[in-house]
Amino acid sequence: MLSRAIQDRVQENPHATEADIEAGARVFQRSCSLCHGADGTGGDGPDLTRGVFRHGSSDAALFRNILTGIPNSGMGGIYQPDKKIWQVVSYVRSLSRGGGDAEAPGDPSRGRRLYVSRGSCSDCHRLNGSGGRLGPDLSDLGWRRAPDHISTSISDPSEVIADDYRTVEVRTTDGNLVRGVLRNEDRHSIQLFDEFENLRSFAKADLAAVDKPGESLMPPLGSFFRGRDLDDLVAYLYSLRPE
Amino acid sequence: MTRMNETKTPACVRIALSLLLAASGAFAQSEVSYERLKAAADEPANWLMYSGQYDSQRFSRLDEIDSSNAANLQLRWAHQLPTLGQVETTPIVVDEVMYATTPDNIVLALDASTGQRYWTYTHDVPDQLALCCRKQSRGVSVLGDRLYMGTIDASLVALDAKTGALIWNTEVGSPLSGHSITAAPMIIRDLVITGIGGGEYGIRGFLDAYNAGTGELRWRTYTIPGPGEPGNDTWEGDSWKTGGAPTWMTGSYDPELDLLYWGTGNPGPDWNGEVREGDNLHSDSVLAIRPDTGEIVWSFQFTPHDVHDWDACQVPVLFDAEYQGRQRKLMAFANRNAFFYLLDRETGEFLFAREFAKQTWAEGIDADTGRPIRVPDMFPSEEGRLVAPVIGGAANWFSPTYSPDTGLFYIQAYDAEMLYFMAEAEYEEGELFVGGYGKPAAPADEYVSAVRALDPLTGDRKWEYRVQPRSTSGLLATKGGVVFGGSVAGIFYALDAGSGEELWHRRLGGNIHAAPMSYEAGGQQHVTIAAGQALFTFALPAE
Repeated sequence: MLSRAIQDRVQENPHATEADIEAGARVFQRSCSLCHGADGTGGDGPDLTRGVFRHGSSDAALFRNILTGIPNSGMGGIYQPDKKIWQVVSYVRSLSRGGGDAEAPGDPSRGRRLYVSRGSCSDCHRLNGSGGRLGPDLSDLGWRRAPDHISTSISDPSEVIADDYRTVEVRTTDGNLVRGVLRNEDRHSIQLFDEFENLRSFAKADLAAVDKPGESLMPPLGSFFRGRDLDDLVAYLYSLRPE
Repeated sequence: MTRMNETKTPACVRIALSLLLAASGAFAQSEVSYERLKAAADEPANWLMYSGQYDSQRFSRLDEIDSSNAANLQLRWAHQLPTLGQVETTPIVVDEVMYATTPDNIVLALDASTGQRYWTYTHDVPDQLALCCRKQSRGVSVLGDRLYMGTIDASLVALDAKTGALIWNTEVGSPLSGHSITAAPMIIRDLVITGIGGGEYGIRGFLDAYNAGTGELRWRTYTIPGPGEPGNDTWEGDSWKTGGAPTWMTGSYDPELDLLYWGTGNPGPDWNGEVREGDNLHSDSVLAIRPDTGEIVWSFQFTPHDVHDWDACQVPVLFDAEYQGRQRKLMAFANRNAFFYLLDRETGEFLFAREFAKQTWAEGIDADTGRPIRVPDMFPSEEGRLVAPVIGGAANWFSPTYSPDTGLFYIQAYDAEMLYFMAEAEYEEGELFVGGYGKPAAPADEYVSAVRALDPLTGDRKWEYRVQPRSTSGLLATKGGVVFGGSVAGIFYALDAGSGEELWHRRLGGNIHAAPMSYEAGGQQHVTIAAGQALFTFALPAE
């Protein structure tokens, strides 16, 4: 495993031009869209447009996973020549450029102050290694998401909830209510990440109820951020790009 | 339900007999003749083929483990497999030697008592392949002192069962054109019969029979009729040439009727039916074939002009029963399209079909013809059309089981729906040829996955055991009145065959996609299942 880790760190994609991305898109349509959807937003396989790759996010890790598949998952490899695989890596990377190069009208400096002070956003979101973990890491949000998407996520966070952030509430037979983010579930047990960032596991036999309300743990903040405040906060978040 | 507890031989006696035989030198591993294969039910200590017996009931006549003691099952051994792939193997056991495969076509011979390895064969799999899904190998077959395996690069190999040495390797198809073999072959007399995969690559499906001694092709029967053959006119223009209808799962066989039954897969392209107007025979069908010649004696198509990828590659289960006043030879078929079918396997006559899982695509099945009565506007579209069942189907390749004791048919069923999208489809050799895709409409845990017990003569549901998340594990019924199964969550469970009550479960720490099987070693009944990348074997505590 050490050699794989080293390989993942040193191997860079040798086929990453715009032409390679176009070529990768063609391979993707033929070989990957079956599970990940024609636009990469997911099907039986996960959404690839979020820039979140749970089985390794380096170019080399993506290459390996596309070539040979991922153990204990539905992902099989596509067993194509190396060049085609690298081109698919380039295309998949391009899918998470959802942020584009839009004009965000607000003031990012003031937005940063709002983020830290009034929003208490860092209680739940991580930014360059600091902050909470209940919500998505925002360090490269502007790369992945356009201003409109960011604005909606602030005012109505339940509109789109990523699979990794579904809310679950369990009530124990002795009356305790525990809320958190669903991590895993089977016939006999359920695992979650609770509001206090504890990893919790419950035997269903010990639970009186399990509820998945379909609403984000994040409260709607439309009443806190309106007009100029919302524009400034969005402008700040949109300015967050990879180093 | 008939229980056999009163006639069981105590475990201590069986173990003593086994030790006595070993000490006297009487233990001998004999070759597996065709006669032994036909009479596999008479030697339940062994598991001689993929589905246990030719009838594919996947019913073990061992009864040491029963509903009164299954709660005491203990891990006897585990064996880590040399693979990173998704393991779907059903091992076979011949005289206390287990033979299992990995998705990469590695074959292992193990001591069935301890899991210790005798030998390994590694097939030379090329780096470049054209696969829709993933590498897979679901098992080997045995005849004489040889094993036979279809390979992911579309070859058929014969191995020496004693050493793992390669005897012959015959090319069945072209791996770069989309051909692959994922299922265990079937042995009939001196023939090795294998299907082919590639329904997502525009192949023309076929079933092949090879001489077991030499590897020479005896016959090939295409599942799509050629020009001038009946049924070719069910394909628009030249679409028959790239119409799919693969044969990627192992079939069943009735030695008395001398008929081989084999399911066929989806027409290609999967979700764009506009380029292949017509019924598209014999896609999504079951074929009855004369094994010595390959002649198609009868066929029945479950889903004419399929546009949802509902292959009929499920395992046909053969059983005999009185139906509508007379004893008949029957075939139970729980189809991916969410209907359970009962056919007369002698004639192919359609007897009835009934929903066994959620479906929204058909108002029903015509009682006379067996053809579906389609709900309008359920074909895939550019915008996406919500249809149940999902692409993976209400059932799929994972084996059902039938217990002659309870008279029940057990199936892993899935109640779920999906958005079906249609896209352009242009054939290019070696490239996916599917014309669309599917997208789940909700998280998987919002749907129901369950083991269901059906009365195969009526389709009535007797009980269900819900599994979460979706299960793609095969099932095993036993003379002890137990049904074994698994789940993607890695839980291996034992259910009461009569009531569905859970008797026992263990977490195995890896996805279960394989089917359980049972055998006897050292005088004790064992149950084996693959989970993650390992084999796990359970037995009752030794007395």
